[in-house]
Amino acid sequence: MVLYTTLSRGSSTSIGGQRIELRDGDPPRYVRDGYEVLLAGIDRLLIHPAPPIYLPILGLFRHVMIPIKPAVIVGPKAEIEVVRRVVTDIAVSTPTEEVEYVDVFPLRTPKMAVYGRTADGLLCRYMFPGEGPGTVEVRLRIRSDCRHPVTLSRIVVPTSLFRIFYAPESDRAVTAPLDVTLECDVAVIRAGDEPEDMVPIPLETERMLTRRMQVEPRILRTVLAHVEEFIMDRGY
Amino acid sequence: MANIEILGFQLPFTYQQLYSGVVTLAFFAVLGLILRVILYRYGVRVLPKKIAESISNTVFYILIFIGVLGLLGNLGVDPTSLVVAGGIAGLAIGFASRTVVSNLLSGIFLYIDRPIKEGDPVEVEGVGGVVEDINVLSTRITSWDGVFHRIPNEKVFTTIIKNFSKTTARRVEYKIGISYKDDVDKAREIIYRVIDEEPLALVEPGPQVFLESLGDSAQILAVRFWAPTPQWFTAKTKVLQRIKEAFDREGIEIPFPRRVVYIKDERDMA
Repeated sequence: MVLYTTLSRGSSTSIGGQRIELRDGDPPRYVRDGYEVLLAGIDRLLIHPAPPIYLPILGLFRHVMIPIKPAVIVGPKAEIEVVRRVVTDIAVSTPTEEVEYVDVFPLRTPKMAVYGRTADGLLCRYMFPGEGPGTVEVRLRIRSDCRHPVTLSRIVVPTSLFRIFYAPESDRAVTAPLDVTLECDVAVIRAGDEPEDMVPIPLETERMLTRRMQVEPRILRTVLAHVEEFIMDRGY
Repeated sequence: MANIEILGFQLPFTYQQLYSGVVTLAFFAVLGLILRVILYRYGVRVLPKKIAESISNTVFYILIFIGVLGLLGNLGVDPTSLVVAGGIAGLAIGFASRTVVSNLLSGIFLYIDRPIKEGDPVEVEGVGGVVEDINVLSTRITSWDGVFHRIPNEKVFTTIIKNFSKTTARRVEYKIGISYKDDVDKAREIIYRVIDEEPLALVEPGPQVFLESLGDSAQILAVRFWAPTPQWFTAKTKVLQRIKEAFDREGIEIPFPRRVVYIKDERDMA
């Protein structure tokens, strides 16, 4: 199934039970379930996975929580590669040099979770497991440096490391592989190399997001900050 | 050396006394200015700006006061009597300004303790609203209905403060009564479904719906779920309405209080 495609004037498609179309006219208009946007000087739109920072509340998430079901028990000094698929949001964007998202919508109710205590924990975007179109493959390369077995039931990743790549004119999407090193009390996560034969999803610039969120740039930078590694405090 | 004479009046001090008095005052003034700058610059690194400002200003004025005492001493005025007079006046002012000092100290402690800060949604002394300003004497809050409140820091410091922004998530809780003829499991399932469909209700910690008690007219279900603190109120109002709508759709009755009344027949008593 071709999910991530180009929407040209007069064409329409159905994603997750929602019909989206780029109606011909002067000016053309993008329509989805009662949501409408007029377009000027834009004849086509791109459909691709959206980064998990827009829904349910734009800009609130610096981390995503990926459930690992069934849980994995990693023995001392052991290594394992776990591949999970999680449901992603869909973005419709302009094919311009500076990208603007025309629409971002979920394929299932977007939800949040707190990692840690509700008093001072991390508010994360919860990535539901799923199968089929609209999901992103997450490859976790887990290595334990710990002397005792560690149970891994979910993993918290900074959104800056959760980099999504997709193949246009297909329904394939993956994240950069995540190298997870378990060090007993903490887990260190690093993003691996970009996958071949895939392209990174078009992202809105900081300027664009700042305007959309109506927040100060410094707040946004904390969301987009390129973090090389993340310490998960007892984060299994 | 002769005393200074102005327009025929002879002043009780000489030019030398005046000169040394002015030098003393100038010395303390310059020292005060330098100390004020140094204290402020170092103070703002470890203390809130307003506190650093207050401390540096206080030190400056104390030094100016000492300089003035020095000037008067040089001019032949006995500083001891001034100090005694000042002490008595200070005592009187001290008693009168006990509340002011108490507020000032409470303000300093509030700055150190930081239970609230500007912009926090709070409830203090029964006033719920957003903190607009905390200065050394009072805390200013704009209540939810837009009314300005000035609360003395002494009260803020000694009362119970509810700060609604300190935690990541808050729990929403309802008590919902359903009719005795309705199936508790079905009602629970409907509520779980509504919560699952609400983006503001968190997946972790998960929601809880359980039969809490058997009331006079209804089976009471307790509903608990968590929402991000800033969206708590929105989640609370949205989900309750959705539960009511879902119950109406699914035919779950939220009963009125009922009382069965038996009327005794007088003839039966006979």
